[in-house]
Amino acid sequence: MNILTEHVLVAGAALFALGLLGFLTRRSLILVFISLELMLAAVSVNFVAFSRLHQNYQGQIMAIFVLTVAACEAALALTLIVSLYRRIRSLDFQVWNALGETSHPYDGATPGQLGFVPTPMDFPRLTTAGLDPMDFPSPVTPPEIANSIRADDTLETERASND
Amino acid sequence: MIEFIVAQIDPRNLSDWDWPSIVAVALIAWGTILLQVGMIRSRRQVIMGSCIVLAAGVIAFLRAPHELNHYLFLAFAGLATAGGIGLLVFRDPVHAALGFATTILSTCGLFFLQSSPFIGAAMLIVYAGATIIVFLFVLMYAQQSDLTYYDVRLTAPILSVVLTSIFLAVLIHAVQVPGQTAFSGPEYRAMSNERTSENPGNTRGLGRSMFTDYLFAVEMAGALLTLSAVGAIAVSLQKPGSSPTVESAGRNE
Repeated sequence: MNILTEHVLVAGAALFALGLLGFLTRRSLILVFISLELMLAAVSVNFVAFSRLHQNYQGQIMAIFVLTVAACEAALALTLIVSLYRRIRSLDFQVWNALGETSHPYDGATPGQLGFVPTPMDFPRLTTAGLDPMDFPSPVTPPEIANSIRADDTLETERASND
Repeated sequence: MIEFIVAQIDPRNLSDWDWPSIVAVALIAWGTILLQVGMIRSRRQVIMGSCIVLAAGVIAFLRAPHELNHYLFLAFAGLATAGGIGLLVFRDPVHAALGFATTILSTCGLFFLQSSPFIGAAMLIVYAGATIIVFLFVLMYAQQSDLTYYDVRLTAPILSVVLTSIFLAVLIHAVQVPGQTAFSGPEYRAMSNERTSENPGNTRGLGRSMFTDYLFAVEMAGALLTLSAVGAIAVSLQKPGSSPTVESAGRNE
């Protein structure tokens, strides 16, 4: 008696669940992408099982394309991981939570137990425009500037009346 | 018309539920939590978690049929699951990557058992030969020191294990129909497109089908590979300080 399809499907489901769990729990960027590859492999186990059940080649061809996409994804992911590592010298993906707004800090991004060294990042910064209204609630115009503005206004009105 | 088989199960009747699978999944979840947490805290939790996972494996083994090629299948599936648990549990990322290598090799064994030797060989070459080696290279480049905080700490382990085990129990329940073997009837075969007269493990027939029926998809896969290679080279050629900042923009003006 041959191996039943449902047993292979259960094995694929277990592998997929383990990959999902690794994707959710691990924090290193490389291990997150390894878990992703594990999920893809589990799906191709299911495809091959159905190919054997239906006695045709469609599932195997789908598994080949899954393998192709996994190879492309691994190449791009490793390139991105290396370039991110060169920026901040860390593989923790929660460091990139710092890309959010500074007015909404993410509490989980400050791990303190094992000597978290905050690494400098060279993000593009927006130029500061104007004053913070909380620090300067009522901008008081200095008298000399106010006088000059008034003088300009009188000049404008004189020119308008002359024309 | 395709008719799907709906299992005659009353969900209110608790004796209809697939209790051995649920118990096995719950045991695996509990053992995984103990292993994940105990790996940095105590050796006793690790031993207890290993025993619980082994008990779940015994339950799964008792439910599986006992014949010779089933033993081979069970060995490969068990090794794959053990490698996956190793990927979750080991704190050293090199050990975790070796657990993933174990999983991939066992998966190749599953493919050989499922009479698709070409997929097994391709998987062996692409994953075990290329992907894992490159991952290990990147690990060696990026992790020259000892364990770091992001290797040791996990993101919400207990919540993730509970959610994933519920997901796995639902999947197993969906795959198995209690009281009968789900995929053995001719109704499931009727859904397939056409059956080949030859053995589907025939690599020659696989290649003929791929380069005639799926030629456009093959071309698209080639375009995808080329694009990803170009993209990887373009990203990796950027220097780390070359991204535009405010200072450099001011200097250019």
